[in-house]
Amino acid sequence: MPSRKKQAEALYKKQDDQRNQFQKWKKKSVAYIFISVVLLAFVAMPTLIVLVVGLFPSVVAGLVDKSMTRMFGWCVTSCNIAGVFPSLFYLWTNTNSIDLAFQIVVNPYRLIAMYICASVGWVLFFTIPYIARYIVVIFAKKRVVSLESKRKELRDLWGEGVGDKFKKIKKLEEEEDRRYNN
Amino acid sequence: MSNVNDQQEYIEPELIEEDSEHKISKASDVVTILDRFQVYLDSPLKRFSSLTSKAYKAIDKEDPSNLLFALIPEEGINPRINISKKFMGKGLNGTLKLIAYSSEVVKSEGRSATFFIYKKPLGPALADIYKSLLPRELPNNIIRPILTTLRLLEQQAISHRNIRVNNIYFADKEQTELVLGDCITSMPGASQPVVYETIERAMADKHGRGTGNASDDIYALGVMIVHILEGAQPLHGYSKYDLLKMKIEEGSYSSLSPAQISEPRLIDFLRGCLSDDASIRWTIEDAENWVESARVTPPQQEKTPRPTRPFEFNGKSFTNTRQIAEELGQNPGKVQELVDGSIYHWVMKDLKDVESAVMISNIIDDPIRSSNVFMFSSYMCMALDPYGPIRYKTLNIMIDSLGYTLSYYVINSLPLIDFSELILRNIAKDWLERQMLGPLTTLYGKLIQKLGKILRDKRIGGGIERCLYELAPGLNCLSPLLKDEYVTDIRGLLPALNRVAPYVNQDERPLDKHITAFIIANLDSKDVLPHLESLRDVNVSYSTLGMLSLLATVQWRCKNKPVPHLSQWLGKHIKGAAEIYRNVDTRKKVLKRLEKLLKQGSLPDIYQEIGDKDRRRADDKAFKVAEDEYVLAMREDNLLVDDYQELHFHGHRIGEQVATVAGIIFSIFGIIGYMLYTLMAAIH
Repeated sequence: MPSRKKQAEALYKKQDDQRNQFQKWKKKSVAYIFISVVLLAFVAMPTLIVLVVGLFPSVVAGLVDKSMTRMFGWCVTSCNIAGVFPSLFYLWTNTNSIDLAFQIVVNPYRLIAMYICASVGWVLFFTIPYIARYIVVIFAKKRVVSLESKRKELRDLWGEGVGDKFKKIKKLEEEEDRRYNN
Repeated sequence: MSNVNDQQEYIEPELIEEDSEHKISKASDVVTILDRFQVYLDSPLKRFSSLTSKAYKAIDKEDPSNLLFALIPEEGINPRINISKKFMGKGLNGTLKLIAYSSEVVKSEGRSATFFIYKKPLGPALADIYKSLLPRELPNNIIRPILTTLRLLEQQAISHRNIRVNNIYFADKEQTELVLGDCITSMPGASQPVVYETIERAMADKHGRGTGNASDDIYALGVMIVHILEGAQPLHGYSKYDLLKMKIEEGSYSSLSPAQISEPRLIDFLRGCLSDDASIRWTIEDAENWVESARVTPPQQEKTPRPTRPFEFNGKSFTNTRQIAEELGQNPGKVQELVDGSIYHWVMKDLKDVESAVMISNIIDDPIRSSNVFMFSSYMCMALDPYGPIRYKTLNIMIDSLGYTLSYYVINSLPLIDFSELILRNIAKDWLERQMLGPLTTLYGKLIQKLGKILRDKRIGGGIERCLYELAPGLNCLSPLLKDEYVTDIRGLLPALNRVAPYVNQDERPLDKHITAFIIANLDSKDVLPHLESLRDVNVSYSTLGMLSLLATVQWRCKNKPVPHLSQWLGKHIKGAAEIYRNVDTRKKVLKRLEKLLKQGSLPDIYQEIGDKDRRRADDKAFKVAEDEYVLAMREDNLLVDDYQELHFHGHRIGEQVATVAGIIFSIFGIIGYMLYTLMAAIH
């Protein structure tokens, strides 16, 4: 069994690695989006206009994302896309001109539809974690009761001595922690 | 140290007791041996008694015509049980026939002892008739048969060590067959008058004279012949000191042999047998050749050099170093007086014994040997008398008497520390290095090394107790638990423990240091040593299991009958040992089955039940698994209870992931739904 000091060092290293990877990935994403926007500006300007206006809540969500999993932006974007898609479909199945694009983005019904969908993503992301947290705690409490019952079963079958190994390990870990902290 | 005046040792011949007339004995005075032989303790037979054993009338219930007598060793005397079997059955020609021996209680003396039942010789003792013997008859009628017997004994690696006129008998009324008397009921040489012993062995304590060899028997034979020729014990009336002085200064032959010997050929025999130098003393073969042809040249012994002036020590004048050593051995505290008295210069200049002087000088200059007065004294004795006995504190013994000495000390509650120090301080080893014992040097060297190892091991199964039983085979077990029993044979141990079990404090274990040592010394070490290791385990359960396994091995090896009382006694300790089983259910089952087995008394079965290796292994394995499960459960529990915050974060993270997935699903369904709606509208 690796020592507590090594375990802690490994954990910190892993966290640092994850942070660095995320930063790299974030920079790459921004670059890809910028390239996509430039390409779209040359190839499909009407679509770009609809997307820029329609996915505005997603851009904002991506910028203000301080969630633990950094998935807020994704959640809002996926719902937002569902709201933007009918307008894009309308654009592509008609003239697909810049005028029509401007007509779409100033149409309040279409804008409301896009932003309501985005807000659904927002609502999902802010409510589900609280429900999940509650469920996890309930399961944890049940697990604690089950573990205690299992330990009692082991003690009844093998006597109090069955816990000696854990006590020894705990004592060793505490001593190691004390040394590490000193 | 023994300071017995040996003048009373010689027992004058008694009239032969009549066996036909016997007064009516009280029941308490009759002891029945092996359900067959009745020993009458109120009918002593003085002519078979010696200084160390008493003889009594005995009757064979199965064959009353069989004339017998019983010999019982005095209290504190350890008999030579280890050689007794060789005298039983057909026995050895030329010796008294030993019919049986067994341990019984001597109620009148309040002790247990070994009874030796001998066939009574029909003729008189040599002591009764020797005055009527003619010198010319001695070679053929006395010496030849004794030599034949000694030859037989030598072939069996036995030294008799009890040859004297009142311990030799005629087996028949016609006085044609001569037999040697008892040599088993006492320690070797302990019954002999000092004059019958060689100088070295005479200087030792009675219990320390040693087993010796045929050479010592030849010497005693020589003295006996002088006894017969003179018609009285030689040098009778001399003190031990004067007797030894004469022997040392004049030589045994010169000091003992009569002035006039009417049979000239006996002169050579006595010169050969009474040589003080064991290396040139006649062997049995030399003596036999002399009997046959009388053409054996007797050895010429060098006389001890006379000093120009005597040496004064402890208020006495000495003219030889051997007696100075004897005096110093008895007064070790005066060793400094010896050094201050310039013993070195006296030995060097007056005795002109350079070798001894150098040894003395080396010892004086040795800081270790001279650091302790007893060690210093002991080494000085070695330098002054290299072939004399080992002298250390209360010990004054020959190397071949270690077992008898130790048993004598234990039986008589004498301080054992002296014996331990003798071995551990290498005094015995250093003494041995000065001897010329040939192959025996290696043998005794290994023995001393082994004893040292045992003495350093103070745990049960080691120490002085183990030395005791290793050195003195046949010694009864001296455990306080068996104080009312007399167990000399390992086969009798468990029955004896079974008998005492109801009367002892059962909180004590049935195995103490004496019983453990007795078992180890009397059983094959391969059988017992693994159990000994368990017995010594610091864990009480494993130690108890070791005790049970050792006793079970004894029962199995000795084919003893069941011992229910002992097993009940063991049961009190074994129940605790059941805790070696961690599984409570297994433990309960084992204990339940044990209850039944304990009543039956078969120790191997009990051990098999509680110490079953497969079951123990399975139990240990399952316990380790249970321990790991417990550790995992505790770790998870600690994680859940102690890191509550982390638990919330964990739930939150899951929630965020679920929300994202839900968003994607919402999007997919939204797009697909819109597409379907548009398609349906186009169709309609």
